[in-house]
This record gives sequence, structure tokens and C-alpha cells, in this order.
Amino acid sequence: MDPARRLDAASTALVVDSSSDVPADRRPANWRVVPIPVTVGATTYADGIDLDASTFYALLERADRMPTTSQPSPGLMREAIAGALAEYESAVVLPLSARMSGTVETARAAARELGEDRVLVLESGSVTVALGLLALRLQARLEAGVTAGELSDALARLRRDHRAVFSLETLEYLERGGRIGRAQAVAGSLLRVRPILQIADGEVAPYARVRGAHRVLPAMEDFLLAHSAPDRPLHVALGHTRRPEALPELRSLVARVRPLASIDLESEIGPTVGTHAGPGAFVIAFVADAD
Amino acid sequence: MGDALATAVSRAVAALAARSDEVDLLNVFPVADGDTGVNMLRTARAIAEAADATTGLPRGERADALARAALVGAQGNSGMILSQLVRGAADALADADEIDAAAIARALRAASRAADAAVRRPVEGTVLTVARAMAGAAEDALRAGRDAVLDAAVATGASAVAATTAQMALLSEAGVVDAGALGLLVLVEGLADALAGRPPRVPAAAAPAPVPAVHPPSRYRYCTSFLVEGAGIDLGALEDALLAQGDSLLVMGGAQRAKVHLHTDSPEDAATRAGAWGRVSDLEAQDMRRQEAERAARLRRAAEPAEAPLVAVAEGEGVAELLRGLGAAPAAPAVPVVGEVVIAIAPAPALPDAHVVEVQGLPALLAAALAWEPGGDAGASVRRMREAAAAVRCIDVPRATADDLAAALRPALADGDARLITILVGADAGVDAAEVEAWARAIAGPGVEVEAHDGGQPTPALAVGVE
Repeated sequence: MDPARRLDAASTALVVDSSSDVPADRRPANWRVVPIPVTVGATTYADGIDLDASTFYALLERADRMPTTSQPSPGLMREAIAGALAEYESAVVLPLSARMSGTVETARAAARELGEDRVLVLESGSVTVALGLLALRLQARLEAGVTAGELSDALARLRRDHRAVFSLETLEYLERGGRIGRAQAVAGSLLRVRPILQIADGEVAPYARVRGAHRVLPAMEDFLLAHSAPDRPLHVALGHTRRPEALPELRSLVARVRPLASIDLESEIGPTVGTHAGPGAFVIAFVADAD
Repeated sequence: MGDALATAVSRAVAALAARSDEVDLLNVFPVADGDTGVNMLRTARAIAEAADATTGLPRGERADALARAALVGAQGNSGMILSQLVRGAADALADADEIDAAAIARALRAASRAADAAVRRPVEGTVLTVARAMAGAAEDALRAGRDAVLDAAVATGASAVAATTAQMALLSEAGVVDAGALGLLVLVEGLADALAGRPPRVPAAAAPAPVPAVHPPSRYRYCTSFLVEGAGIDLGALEDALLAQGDSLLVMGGAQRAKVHLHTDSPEDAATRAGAWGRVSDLEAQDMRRQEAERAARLRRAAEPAEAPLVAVAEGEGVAELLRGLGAAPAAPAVPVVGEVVIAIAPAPALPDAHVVEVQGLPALLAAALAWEPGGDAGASVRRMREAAAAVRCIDVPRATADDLAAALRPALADGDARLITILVGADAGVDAAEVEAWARAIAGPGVEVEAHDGGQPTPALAVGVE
């Protein structure tokens, strides 16, 4: 796409995948969502279409084998972008991190087929509500009007600056997915270890291990304090798996340590991350952004 | 069958007894089931006792007695399935005029069918596969006579056992054969040798070293079994009633007597539920976590030298297991240690080439190990480890009683800041970790997380950490 091309919310569709975990009622009219395929046993579901979070977690807890998420098929991706181009002059595609999925490559291939002059594919380096938060920041720029070059630059900065901290209630799903060894899982669960993870370099990576439920929120608070400045406008997204009742506590944590922050998104974490996190996980994603 | 049967069964039991450790070490899959060898052996012993006690009785009565003894004595998944194999064989032999080649082949087939029918979700590459292969081999060898039929079953059974490795991904990853399948083979070998008048086999001196269990830990803690006796027990309804209580559920037997096996966190609840169908007895609950830890310990008897980036000086197999899970190499106090960072309980040894983190007790030692970051800056790691260890108040309780624990905990809980209590139960404490955990919960009340594990340390009886 020509870097000088003008983009705005009336003329540009924003195509995200369902791993961005932005609920339907929070999606602006110009958004299109490509469902991530989720396979549980012999059945493959389209995330957000015929699989909602409560069904997914019920399946996850019962499943003998780990559910797997894969990238949307080239056909599905092409269809979504073509659909967007039928209604809008341009399409900006923001799939989950290339380090986690080949979705961005599929999107680039579809863009080459459909005309790269009208389609801009961006690498988010993110996932779940952190990705949703980046998409909302791009939307703010589209609403104000922006050039394609400015939008790419803005996303590059958001990708670099955004942070997300996760806490997991159990090691069980990390172990089932082969992310940690059995000995580690056994020792960890015996000692009530709560892993604290972060998004780093486009991947969900370990950040710390704490013992006991009482240390989880303080660890997340430390992360927020360490990676944000008190005097800059902070945009925040909160996520959980099966624990909506914990949102008020996360909200008040954010309000207490960063009073200037605005919470732009609250959502349940979907299958892409939920498969590995299991129920009882939380995430605080944030990025300083003045625009 | 006369005394020959009692002798043959006891020879089979002896053969299994000689190799039950080997079978235990193999147990990697399909279900976490404690110790397969021990479970099969206990079941087989119950059958042998019945065979002995019923010498001289009519064959039909004897067969019933053996089937009943197998069911009542069945331990664990493998024992439950063994009891069904025995029931099938006993039913077939009860009607036989003579224990000849044809009767043996029929018995093996009936055994295989009974076991297949009793398992809700049969998995290939297990004892079921091997029993079926043995039955087929026996039928093929019918004309060769009784001893040859059994020998054919054993020979084919041995190949079938060897083939289990390739039949299940977890077995082939671990490079082992299925434990229950080997157990069955050993039992039938013992029977065949006894009936043919051959001397017992001497087990190979050095069995190939098996690898640690790779099956996922059961979600549940207790491998539980009990007997339900009543009138008109509906096995299907009983099974349905227990489904939600745990996993690895097996309900076997008949309308008067049912044996239940399941993995659950609350054996008593399951037994209470089953009480709706009749009188519940023989409740047994084996702590699978303890069994797993012990198995892992056995596998590591020939311990590696204590040379690793992080070494923790501590005693007790349970403690060692936790340390390994945290990425630390455990070392007994006498072992020379080589490490970049060494954690030890005060007074810690002076090690000029290592960062030494001195801690006050076992719970602090674990907290320090948890705070270690591999590959990072050792100095920063050591600072975090010291902080983590300092945040744990360690209390040694010399006697494992609820009163001693309460007296030790109360001062530590007085300020209301405690959030997490960790207790490592010593080798000679004489109480179960679950019981200690229940005491601590009652003492600490709500709002405090409590964890107790079998540490296996020689002293103290209870090593308590309060954070």
C-alpha cells in the first residue's frame, strides 16, 4: 500500500482475528473478524462463531487431549479480506503475533492475491486482549484520519511499547501442552506456584514464579509499575479466563497505581491463549499512547 | 484340579513377586495407577490364598471362590483387570471335565473376553491385547497337548508384550513395555512352568533400566477401591453415580457383589455414595502422589554427582523431588557439591567457588530454589533467593501431632499476616501429609493457603514454613 494513502474509519476496514478477544459489542462497525479454528478431539470449531468461551473451557477441562488452535485457512482469510474490500476502499489486517501463528503470512498471501495497493498487513507481536488493545489504538487513528505510513509507524511503536502480564492459577495446562516438564509441574503444583507470564518479543514468556494466591496481584502490580510511567496516558485492557468476578479487583489495582489510566477493554481470554492458560488466568495489558 | 492348582497359582504369584519391582518401574501408562506390580501381586496373592483354602472342594465351587477372591482382593486398575481375567478363566474351567489343552485354550479365551467386556474404554497395547494374543496362540496350538498350549501362549504373549512398546506413543517415547501386560505374562509363565513341572525361572539379574513415569499425574490423589455387597446391584447405575467422583473408574462384579476402583480426592465420599447400593467394605485408598515420589526415588538410587548450576543441600526423597522440579540438584549433606549457587540450611558450609545461600529451614530452602533464575545474572538471582528465603518463617516441629503443630503455629499466626503455610512431613513422622494438611487448615482457618507434602527428611518430624 502506498504510504501516502489516506485511511479513515469510513473508508477502511480493520480485519482482526478472533484471538484479539474483543467482544462483539465492543467492535466498531468497520471491523471484520476472522475466526481461529479450534480443534477439540475430532471436532473443529470456528472461535466466536460456533464456539463461545464457556463452551470452550467446559471442553478444555474435560478433554483427554489438548485442544489445538491453528491458523485460519487461506480461503477463509481471503474471503474475510475480500468481504472487507467489497464494502471499504482499504483493509488493514492485524493478526496475532507471527511468533505464535502463521496467520500473518496467510494474510500477506491473501493481500498479494487481492491487491496490495488496497490491503495493509501489519505484524502485531501480540495476542488476546493485548492485541485487542492495539487494534483499538489503530482504530482511534483511523477515526481521526491517518496515512498508511503513519499507521504502520504507529503500530511499530505500539508493538514495541505495549506490555502484558498474565497470571495462571494452575500449571496443569502448561504441562498438558508440553510447555513445561512433568517434574516441574508436579513440584510447582505441590508448592502452589503461580506462574507470572508476559508478552515479550511477540511471545508469551515466563516472567516470574510466585508462591501462593496472595502474591499474584502484587506481582502483577509490580510489573505494571515497572513498565509504565505515572505521568503518561495509559491505555489498559483486562482479561480473564472464567473469572469475571475478579475484574473489579484488577480495575481497582490499575486505578490505584496508575490513576491516569483508562481501561479500554475488558474481556474473557479465548482459546488461543486459554488452551495453555486454563481457567483462573488473568491478564493486564497496557500501552502508553497519547494519540 | 486338586493341589496342583494351588501349587500352580502360588508358583505364578512367586514369579510375579520376584519381578514386581520391575513391573512397578515400567508403569508409565495408560493411567496413573500407583504401582502396577504391587497391585497385581496383591490381587494374585488373594487368589492364591483362595486356591489354597479351597483345596478338595468341587471344581465349580472352587472356581466361584477364586473369582470372588480375585474380585474382593483386586487392587488398582491392573488388579481389577486381572480379577476379570481370572473370573473368565474360572467360569470356563468350572464346566470342564478335564483340564486338557482344549480347556486351557477355552479358559484363556474366556479370560480375554471377560476383561475386554469389563473395560469401558479399552486401549490397545495393554494387558488386554496380550491376553487376546495368548488366547489366539493357545487355540492355534490345541493339538500339541496341554503343556505346549501354555508354552505357545507364553511365547506369543512375550512377543505381544514386546510389541506393546510400539502400540502406544507414551510407551515408545519411554522405550518400555506396558507394565500390566508384563505382569500378566509373568503370571502365566509361572502357571505354565508349574503345570509342566519345570523349575522356577531366575529373573534376569539386570533388567534394562526403565525411565521415570511419563504419564500425566492423575488429577486425583487417591487410588481407591472398595467392595459393595447387596441384593440386585445395578452395576451401570452404580458406575453412573460415581462418575463425577473422580476418574479411572472401574465397576466390576455382579448383582450381589461389586468391586469399585477409582481415582478420587475423597475416597469416603465415593464410598458413602456407593452405600446406596449395599454394604461397603474393604475401603482402601493409596496415595498416588506418594507412590509416584517413591517410584521416582527408586529410579534415582544411583544418584548423579551433585554438580549443577544450582545445588541444594537437603535430605529426604520428597524434598529432593520438589527441588528437582524447581531446577535444583539435591545433594545429601555428606556429598561434595560443585555449583555456581548452593543453598544450604544453616550452618551452611563455606564454599569458596560458589554463591552460598544460607537458609533457616527446608521451606525456606524451597522458596530460595523457586526464586532462582537459570541463565541470568547469578548475583541478582542470589539476592532474590535470599529475599525469598528470608520471607519464610521456618519452624521445626519435633513431634507430628496436631497439638504440637498448633503450639508451633499459633505465635506465627498471631499477627494475622500469614497467607501460606508449607509443611514437609518427615520420614518417621508416622502421619500422612493429608492428615497434617487437615490439622493445619483447622488451626490456620480460612484465608491461609496450606500445603503439606511428604518430604521424607530424617528431622524434623514437621518442617513448617509460614509466609
